[in-house]
Amino acid sequence: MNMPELSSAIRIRVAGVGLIGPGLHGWQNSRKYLHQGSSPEFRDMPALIPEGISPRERRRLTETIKLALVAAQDALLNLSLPIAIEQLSTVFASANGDLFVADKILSALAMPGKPVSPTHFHNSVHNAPAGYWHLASHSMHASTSIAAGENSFVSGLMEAVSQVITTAEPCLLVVCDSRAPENYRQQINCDDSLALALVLCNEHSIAAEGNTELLEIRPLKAASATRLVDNTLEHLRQTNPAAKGLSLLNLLADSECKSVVIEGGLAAGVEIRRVAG
Amino acid sequence: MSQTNRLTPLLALTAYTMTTAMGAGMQANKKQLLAERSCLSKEKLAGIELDVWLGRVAGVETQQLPQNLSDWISRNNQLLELGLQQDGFLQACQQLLKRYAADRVGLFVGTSTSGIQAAEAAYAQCKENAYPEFNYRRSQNLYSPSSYLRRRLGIKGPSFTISTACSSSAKIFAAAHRHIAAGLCDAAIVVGVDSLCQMTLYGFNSLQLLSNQRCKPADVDRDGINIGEAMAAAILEPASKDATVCLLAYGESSDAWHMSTPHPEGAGAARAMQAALTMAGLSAGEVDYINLHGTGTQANDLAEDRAMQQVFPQGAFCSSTKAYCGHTLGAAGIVEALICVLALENNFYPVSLNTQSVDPAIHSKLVLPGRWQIQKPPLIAMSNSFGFGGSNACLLLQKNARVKT
Repeated sequence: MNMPELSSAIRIRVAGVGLIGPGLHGWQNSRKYLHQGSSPEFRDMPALIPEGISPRERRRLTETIKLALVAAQDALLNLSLPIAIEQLSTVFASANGDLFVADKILSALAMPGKPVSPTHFHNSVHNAPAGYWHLASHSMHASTSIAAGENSFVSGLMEAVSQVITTAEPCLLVVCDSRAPENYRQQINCDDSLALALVLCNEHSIAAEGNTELLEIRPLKAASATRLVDNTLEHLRQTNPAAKGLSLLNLLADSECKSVVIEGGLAAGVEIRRVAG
Repeated sequence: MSQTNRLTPLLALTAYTMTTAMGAGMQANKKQLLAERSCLSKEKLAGIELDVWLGRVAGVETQQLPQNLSDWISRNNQLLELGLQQDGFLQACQQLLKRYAADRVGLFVGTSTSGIQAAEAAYAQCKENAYPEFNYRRSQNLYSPSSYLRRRLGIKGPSFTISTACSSSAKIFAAAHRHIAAGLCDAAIVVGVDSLCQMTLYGFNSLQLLSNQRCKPADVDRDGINIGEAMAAAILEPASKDATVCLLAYGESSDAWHMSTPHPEGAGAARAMQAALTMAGLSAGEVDYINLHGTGTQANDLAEDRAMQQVFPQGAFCSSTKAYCGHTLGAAGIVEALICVLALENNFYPVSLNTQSVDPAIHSKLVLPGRWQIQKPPLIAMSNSFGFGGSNACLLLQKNARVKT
């Protein structure tokens, strides 16, 4: 396939991966599905228990917030480099944010007296998962929460990459989208929730013995997305905006896979290639 | 930490515009700032029955969208379109796209609630056992204003919406700078837009943060915020010799403290301000004016003052401009950055309007209304923005920045 090049390639290292979705209970447990191109046997969601948050605070968390937090902590479970959690800046990306909490507020506003819950209101900000993550991790570093529709994965990736390149500091990327609530189902065809997370580091900042993946990202003017072999995972990729990142996770899981193309974000998309080193 | 950043060219603000309750366009806003006039009003808005002051922009409801984009209708996109048409900004964007390829121009938009007002109307009219009827992607979705602008302007470079509550449109400057520094685009358009809606008004009301009077930042009697709406935008390009105002640096941090109250000692706020100074290679004494976040709540103003004491122990002239046009939430970052630009270009210090009797617990060197005499034209200004979730951002702007050629 002939992909016209837009600008010079950017190199980045992946030091940790997190994945939570239907039948996808953490990266270590689910990388085999992406490697073998097979469906998870069951489609249940794992129990979502975010750490570092008091039981009292935890009760206030929505499912979407918990999903993002648990994917982030999964990425830190098997770090290939010694990175202190409180030293991480973060980028959170989501196409639709927390529509369950928006739906609750909108329903309250349609009632007499408009009884909006203060907890729902502060959970409704797009950066609520980021706020809770920084609370839990005690990281006072920068955090950005973005939305870019179907391009949210690539946009989040490139924002995180630009942070790593300009600061030489590691960055945690968390991309999360939930299934659509009933009132949105006609407009959003997404039945499954999924969150994935990546710890990204500067190309040069790593000791040679570190077991990290070096990737090269190239913007494309025209892109045709790499599909996943398994139908269930491919359906997820096509319906959940965060699951666009499963193509990159496929590259990371399968050493035979050399490159993937993901649509959206920069011009028409990006090609991500594994590089030796 | 920020050494790499300093190697990148300074970014000049080569065109900019703002539309707030003070008026449409830079001149209208400048006039009200110099006249020290609050433009908050008690005029009622459909669906909002609270007895509060609002920073409402005139003419939003009747603003037409271009015919090919008419189904993107929402109060937020109407405000966006209204703002685009001021100060020749639309034409400046068209000129920009002649200087740069469309896929080398980035677009970064800050908003907190996008066009959720369309969803509010649909939910209110929704019959039992039916779905609310509205176009989610083109109104409520946070990417809607970005998507609208991509179509409206023909931009094809990197684009996303930042939504970090009240720091959203300060952080778009940082994202634009990073994308240019990383070579992902060559120039950028940054836009902040947030419009009045029930969600924010009743939400802030549920947290008991709304004032029934005009907000009184840093005043001993302050009791909360007024909500406003605004659109503001700027074009950022690598600065040439004749650049008038430049983005010098930015600083970002997280409070890691609480979802809706600031760190009591202002630790996160101080960190963001210090990061901006470090990136710029400036000492605190070199900053002439600071536009405070200054919402007028008890907690914010006190925490911000503590942060100011840490970063500016010698003091620095500062003010909150929230009483002019209200707290414009996701648009406040860029609105207040452009208020700094007005101050730099016109050699004045915006006063802390409606601050009558300064809280004895607050020690910042506030520029108070009616008593101000200019001592030195400001050359370097800072703007603070802090949001829910402990999201802090600080921008540094400089007049006639020296550019190495």
